[in-house]
Amino acid sequence: MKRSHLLGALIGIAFVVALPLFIKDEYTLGFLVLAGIVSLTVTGLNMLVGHAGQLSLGHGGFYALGAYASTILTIRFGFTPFPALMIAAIATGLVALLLGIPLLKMLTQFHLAVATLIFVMLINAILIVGGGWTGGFTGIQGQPPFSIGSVVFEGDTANYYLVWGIVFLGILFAAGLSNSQAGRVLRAIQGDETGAQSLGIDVAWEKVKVFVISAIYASVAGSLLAHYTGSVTPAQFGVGPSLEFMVMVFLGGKGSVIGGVVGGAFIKLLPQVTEFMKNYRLLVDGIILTGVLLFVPQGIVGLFKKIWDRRPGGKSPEEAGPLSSKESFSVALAKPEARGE
Amino acid sequence: MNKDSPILEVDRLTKNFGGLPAVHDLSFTVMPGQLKGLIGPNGAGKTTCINLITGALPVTSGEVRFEGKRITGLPLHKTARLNIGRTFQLLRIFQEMTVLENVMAGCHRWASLGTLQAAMRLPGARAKERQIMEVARSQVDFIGLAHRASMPAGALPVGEQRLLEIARALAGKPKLLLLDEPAAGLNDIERARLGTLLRKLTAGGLSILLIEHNMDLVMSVSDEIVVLNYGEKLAEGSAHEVRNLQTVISAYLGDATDA
Repeated sequence: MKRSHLLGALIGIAFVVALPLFIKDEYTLGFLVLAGIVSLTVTGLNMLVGHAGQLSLGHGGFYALGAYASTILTIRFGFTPFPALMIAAIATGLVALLLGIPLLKMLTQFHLAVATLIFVMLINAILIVGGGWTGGFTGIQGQPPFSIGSVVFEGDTANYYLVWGIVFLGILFAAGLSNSQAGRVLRAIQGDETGAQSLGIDVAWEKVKVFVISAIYASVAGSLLAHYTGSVTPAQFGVGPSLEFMVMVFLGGKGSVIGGVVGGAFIKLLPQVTEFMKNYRLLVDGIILTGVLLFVPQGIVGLFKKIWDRRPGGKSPEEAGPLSSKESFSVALAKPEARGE
Repeated sequence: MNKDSPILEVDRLTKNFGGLPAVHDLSFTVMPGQLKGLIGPNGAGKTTCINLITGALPVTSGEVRFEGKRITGLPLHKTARLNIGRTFQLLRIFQEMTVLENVMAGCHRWASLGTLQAAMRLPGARAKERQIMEVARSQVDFIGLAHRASMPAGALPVGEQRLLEIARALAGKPKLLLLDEPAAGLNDIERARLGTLLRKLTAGGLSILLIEHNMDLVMSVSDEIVVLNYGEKLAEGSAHEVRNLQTVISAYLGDATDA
């Protein structure tokens, strides 16, 4: 690990750990918990989208499976939350495997996007017509707070540390994957599938694996959501949230290990700043995504990385790689020195 | 493996595209440590031939045997796992990854770890990563791209991208290497150096099937040459024998008697 990365990581961790000391207001802290839950999903999705180059518009479906499986296991079957979360994650992983094998073995990334969209619509329909099992439109309420053994995570501060602790583990795993041969294999697939096959890489199977891993991230996030809010309804897991996850991936930084957190936190906290836009959330998301794709295709993290690489004493222009005209525009916009004046 | 038996046998291989034969009834062999040239005019079926051998395309009829075992119909990633490396005429490098990362990805054939093992840095993962790095660095050095190692591969000139594809294929430690026009886009000096590298590789025991348009290179490095025309084998023999065959001359230059 490079020293600048280690330093950045330590500052990031210190910031997240210290934040609740300064925010006493429960409402804001609650939004930070939700931002963490969403960030976990997006971190997983980013491995699929950013590393393997596959598009999923259906991760809200896996998020729903985690939340509802945890809910049903704890409320209907009397499981305690921790084993319920584990069982939910395994079950969701199996669903992703069964879904992923046929989809990823023969389809292009665009087929996958459409198929996963249908998947999330199907899951949503099942939740609505599920009757006593899923509670229909009104969902299920009364999930117990998350607990491991006798440690109960009650209240916003405890959930904040629980959720962000798990986000940290999620990032650690994603970073390990990204910096290993497994990560290179996925980026190779994104780069050129035939080229990857010529190296002995089983492209379809590698895609299935990362699809399953990203679904498990979404499932764990869903379980945490159910136990934190004590309520699940189908509306939380529809097409809208699924699309929003993709927006977060691109906004934060496709393929960046912390891009999921940056994008997730940004979009979750943005409405707190611009609450009057509530009814126009999807429109705002659309405008932001378009803007990011146009001017910062590598996302917020990518933009800062480019600026960092171009600081005096940074990488040589050759090593840093060429900038597209739009990137140089946004780099110049963000930092006048980067123009090389 | 017996030194006297061929590493690759192409046996009566035929490929039709919509009724038109691209390769017809083609047979030849590559011996261990041999460098075999495969030449022919444009459209003669050379690239199709490599695609059939590696399983990138399904065959119409005929058989391909590698180390005596039938590999016809195996998909590309499975032939790769049998230690058949290849490069592409239309480059297929990973543009966004660095030169070194491209070559590290090439180590996959012998260095694949379980995804979980790799991501969680379980015992063995670290040592394997170090090994991958060493092999990749030595291949980047060997091919002469050490000064480019940390550049994004897409930023290299085309000639160097071709060399990178060779390094990437070599990182998998293949027994047979299929090269599809590796010298296209190289200047004279680079081409001469490539010739030397190829001879070094065969001296080390690697078998190579070389498709190349540059006659100087093919003629100077090949142990034997197969000439294709319209998907059929026109001639086979040493560079000297092939060069003087009237059929070969007319395939390349037309039937002009004053050629």
